[in-house]
Amino acid sequence: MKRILATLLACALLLSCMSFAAAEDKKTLTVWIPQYQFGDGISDQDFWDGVFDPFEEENNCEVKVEILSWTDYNTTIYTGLLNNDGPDVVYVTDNYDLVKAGLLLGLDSYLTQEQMDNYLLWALGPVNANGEHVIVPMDDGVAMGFYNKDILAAAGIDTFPEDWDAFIEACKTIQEKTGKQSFLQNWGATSGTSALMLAFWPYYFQAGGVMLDADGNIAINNEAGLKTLEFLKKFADEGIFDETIVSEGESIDKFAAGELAFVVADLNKGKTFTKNEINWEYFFSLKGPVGYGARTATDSFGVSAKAKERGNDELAVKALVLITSGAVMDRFHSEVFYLPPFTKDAAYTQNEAYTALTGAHTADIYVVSEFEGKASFEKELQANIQMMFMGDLTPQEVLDNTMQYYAEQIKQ
Amino acid sequence: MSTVPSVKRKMSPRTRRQALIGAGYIAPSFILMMIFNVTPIFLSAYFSFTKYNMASPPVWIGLDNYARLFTNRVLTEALNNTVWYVLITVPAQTVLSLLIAVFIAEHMKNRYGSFMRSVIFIPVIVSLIASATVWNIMYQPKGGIINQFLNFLGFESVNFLGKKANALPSVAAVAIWKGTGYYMVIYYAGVMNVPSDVREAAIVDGASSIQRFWYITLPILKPITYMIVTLGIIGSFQVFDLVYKMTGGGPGRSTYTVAYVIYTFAFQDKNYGYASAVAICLLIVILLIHTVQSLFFKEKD
Repeated sequence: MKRILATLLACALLLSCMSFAAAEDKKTLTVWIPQYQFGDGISDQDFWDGVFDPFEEENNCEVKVEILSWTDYNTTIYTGLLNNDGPDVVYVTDNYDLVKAGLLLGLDSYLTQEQMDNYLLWALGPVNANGEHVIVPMDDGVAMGFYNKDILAAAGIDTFPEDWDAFIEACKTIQEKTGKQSFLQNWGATSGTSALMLAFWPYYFQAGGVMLDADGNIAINNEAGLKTLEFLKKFADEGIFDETIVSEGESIDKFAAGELAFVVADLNKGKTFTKNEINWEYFFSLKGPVGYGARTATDSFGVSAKAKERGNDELAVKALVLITSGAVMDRFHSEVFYLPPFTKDAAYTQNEAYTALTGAHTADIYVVSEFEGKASFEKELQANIQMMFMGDLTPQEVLDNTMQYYAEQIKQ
Repeated sequence: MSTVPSVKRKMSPRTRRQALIGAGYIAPSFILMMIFNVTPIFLSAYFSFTKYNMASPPVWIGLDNYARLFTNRVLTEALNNTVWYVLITVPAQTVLSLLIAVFIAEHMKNRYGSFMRSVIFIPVIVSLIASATVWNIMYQPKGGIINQFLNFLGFESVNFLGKKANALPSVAAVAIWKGTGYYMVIYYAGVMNVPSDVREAAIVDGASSIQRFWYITLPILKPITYMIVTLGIIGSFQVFDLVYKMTGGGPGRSTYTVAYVIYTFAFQDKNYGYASAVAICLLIVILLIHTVQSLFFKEKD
């Protein structure tokens, strides 16, 4: 009996060694992508696993797709890219620090001219010290405003109040006449980037603000910055902002439930609002002291510089090309998240109202720039603005403290 | 005056062999402790004198990081919050765990007592992140179970995590809920070790239960209290997970703690050298508090 048992154990050991050796031949590729599906559709994991199933077979490899949370995403990928076990292919938000630290692979030598030409924003992407492009940038789309026509009508407001002061007055009127909330922004978000993308930078652009100075450094301690913060403070002082909004999606949920008159959100939310039978309409942006202003940004995909050390570089670039291909992105945009096209061969087209509005305001669309320590800067600015809402800081102190922190702590 | 010559005892081969075997048993854990516990302290100490973003080699900058500690507004706020957090959690969890342990030991010496012990201990085995997530939901201003209960009693909803005055105590409450069970078990073991003849003598002398607690149980439990307060202070000074998950340091910076800012300095601001300097200072502060505390307890003894 003992002999049989020993023989079986030896066989099992041998088999496991053989399978381990077989697995050694197979390359493993790790892909990090943040969560994009917040609705009822196919999950991000299922979508990307489905995309990579034929790729794995074709290339005799295993692709591990890891869907990450947006919370602290930039910190996660920075430390991940430093690590030997980090991702091979990665979705990049703020790219400045990654490029400066040399954490991304130069792509020019891996891609054909035809492939590079196919990417709509290829030329706008940053380059490394060797002059090679390190990311494939994509247009995140313009964040638009939505308003509930029924609530405005109930408050006796006929036209959308686009001027800053008129907007504040309209908010007060809506609250008084309908008892509903008028306008909320996601200042309770845990990520500074999320809050600033929708609730700071658009106003800053409307006030005539420019993000970077002549040397490419962030500079918001100016008249536009002050006007923006004074405007934001009015929302708190007039009781328009609701301090119970402690998470990012709450204002959108309220709008979707017909309890909120205005919200700024990504384009995808229109589908949810329509599904909930909200009588809604887009607005491009408010009109500040200088004019209209809405923001767009470019996120991107890149390949880790460590992929080359691991011998995964060619396979990783192949995966990157697959992810960003017109066919996959068309599916992603229709099944998971609604975004502008990535490549020239994408069949996807924008929604008509969005296209009309952005077409009429091309000069009013501003790109949120990349700069050193952007994620930290935005987190610090968000914390200081929250303190302003709580009455601890004045608008000028917000600007002073943020810029001082940036100079002393963040800028290397 | 005669002097006693020092006698150096020679180890017998057997004793030496036993010592070597003992050392062999200890060696694996000793080596692991040196690698994972002690080496990082020395590495942090070294990095604290450098400018280092982990992507490029560290650059020696001497005491610059330490000089900047004293002018950093964010760090001052974090230190202030941490001290408040320690002042809320340590006394609360120490007193609560003591009272519960004494109550169960004296009044619930039956299966209900052991059931109570288990129930109170459950939060200890739940992951901190899971606890924080559940409490976040319970704290929700609208729809959270705590506010629903308050509304049911006729009170207005409380914004537990979104209001500056409430955020830190709300986080501390979760820490107290989570830590009490652990310390209760330690106290319970201590209470069970109180000599029964002393208690019986006190009862014969007519001491009330409060007098027995105050003059017998509490003094006997002093070494345990010392240990619990020490562990509580060390743990509270290092609070990170709860803050990270529940508030992200907000609103504003009202729940920034020292451990949380070490994380933000290191991983968000990519300023590992500066973060190491703060970490070394935190280590020194904890050691100082521990020293003062042990002197205080020694003096009292």
